[in-house]
Amino acid sequence: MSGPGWLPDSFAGIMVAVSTYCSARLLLARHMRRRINVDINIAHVSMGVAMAGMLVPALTTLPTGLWEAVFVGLAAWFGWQSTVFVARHVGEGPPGDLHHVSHYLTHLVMSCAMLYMYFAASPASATNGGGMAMGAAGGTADYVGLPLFFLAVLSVSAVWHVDRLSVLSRQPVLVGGGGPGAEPGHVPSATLAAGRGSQPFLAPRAEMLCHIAMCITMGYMLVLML
Amino acid sequence: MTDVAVAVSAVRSPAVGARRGSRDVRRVLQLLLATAWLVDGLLQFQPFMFTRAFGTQMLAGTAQGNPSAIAHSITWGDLVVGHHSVVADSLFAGLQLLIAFGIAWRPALKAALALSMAWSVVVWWFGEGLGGLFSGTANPVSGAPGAVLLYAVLAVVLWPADRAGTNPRFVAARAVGTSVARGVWVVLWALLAWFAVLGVNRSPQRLNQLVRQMATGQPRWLAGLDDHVAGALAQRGLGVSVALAAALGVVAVGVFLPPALARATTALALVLGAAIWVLGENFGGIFTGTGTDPSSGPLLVLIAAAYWPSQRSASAELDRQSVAA
Repeated sequence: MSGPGWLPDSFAGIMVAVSTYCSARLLLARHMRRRINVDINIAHVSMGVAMAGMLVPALTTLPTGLWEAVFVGLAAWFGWQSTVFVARHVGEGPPGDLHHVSHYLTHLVMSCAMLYMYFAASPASATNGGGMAMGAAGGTADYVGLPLFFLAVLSVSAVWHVDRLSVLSRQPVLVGGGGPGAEPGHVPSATLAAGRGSQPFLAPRAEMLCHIAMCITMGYMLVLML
Repeated sequence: MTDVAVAVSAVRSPAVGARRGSRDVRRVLQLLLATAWLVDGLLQFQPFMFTRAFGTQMLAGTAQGNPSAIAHSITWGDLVVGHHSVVADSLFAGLQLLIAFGIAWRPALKAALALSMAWSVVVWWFGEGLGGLFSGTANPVSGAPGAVLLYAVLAVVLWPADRAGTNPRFVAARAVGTSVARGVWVVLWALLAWFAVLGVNRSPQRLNQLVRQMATGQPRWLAGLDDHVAGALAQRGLGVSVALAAALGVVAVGVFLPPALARATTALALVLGAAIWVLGENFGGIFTGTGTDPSSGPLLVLIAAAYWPSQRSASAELDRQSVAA
């Protein structure tokens, strides 16, 4: 990793924190009977742990081949979900439904970006099977349009989430959703976040922050590979 | 966690959405501007930017050809950056990320746009050598009058204010009024047209040289494209430059034309911005590992989008014409 050493260390620290938090969400949501996007949280945990290992080889947990299999699986899952969603909803639901496709497509792109980084990065050493050295992509130098595409999608997603976060911050968060006593004109964001479900969402703002952090860190790593 | 964000979007009623339609277009453009700043900030994390060469060679190189006083100030500033490269580049990256997230975070929008204007001027001076305006090397194909200056233009025309009692023809007119917005457009595109045929840009081999220089360090497919384009431009620099200047001139006056024609000239501006970005700027040199931003092409496209004549104003124009008839 080139550049000042504290930079990848900082990003790795953020990724460890995000992974830990998303793992806790997966456990707490069940315990507290709150809604979360299970697939997204699993993806965030996997990507966070994997990126921490790519940024700081000492944090490597699984062999590269295994990580590649994980992200092929995640890409297939989000690709399948996108296809199913489009087949079921396009032309039927309200316009807002189209945004739900971005929910899957963004994470499909993130999974593909992870795969690209594993394919593009060169092994740090022959003895360290899992350690990856980030840097200019040697064998993939002619495919640099891909990281630029990934970077664009991640940047748009991060910016859009910050915008949504600023909107959400103006709404009062009600743990139990909007009941008869709810103030008119105020839509409880917890209920909003839960969509059509009856259970309120678990810490929606924190989850959006995790997504933003994930996009920025992945963008940083992709920039190193341009 | 897009599902949560999606739910926030979906809660707006259709009536509110319709009433806020034109405002939403401006917000979309603001978010695209924020995205551009975010990409700039991330590009600032490239390893080369943390080296002494970034300040002492890359930035200081922009001083060449400028008047003595300006050149000295650029050299001085860039030497300071070069000697404190890690701290300086970390600050640059942090500031650009701050601007990006400030524009996206609605309560901080005005402060972030104001900061982006100030920062654009600083970078235009010390990082782009005033876009080559005073060195005689400015050419719209290679990014004149300086990509970062276009960020300041966008901050002005996308400022979150509405002039009372106006029926803006396009998004850019909402904050500053139609007259000022038209003035900004004409000055920008007329300057580009002038630069296209200025001094050395009229020479038969100028465009050929510009494109060939860009090929250095690019991936094979892009270098191959440059080779083809440079070959096509060989000894045809004057004719192509005049044609480009004419097209840019048409774009400049297009803002005064009726909506249908204005739409055509704005579409031409979009095409020119995209063509300049790909063929002339090679995506801002991002693939070379030393690109600090995507250059002027995408920003010209964004500016053109802010001047796209709206349907509402078009129907108002038709009403006005029928009343006059």
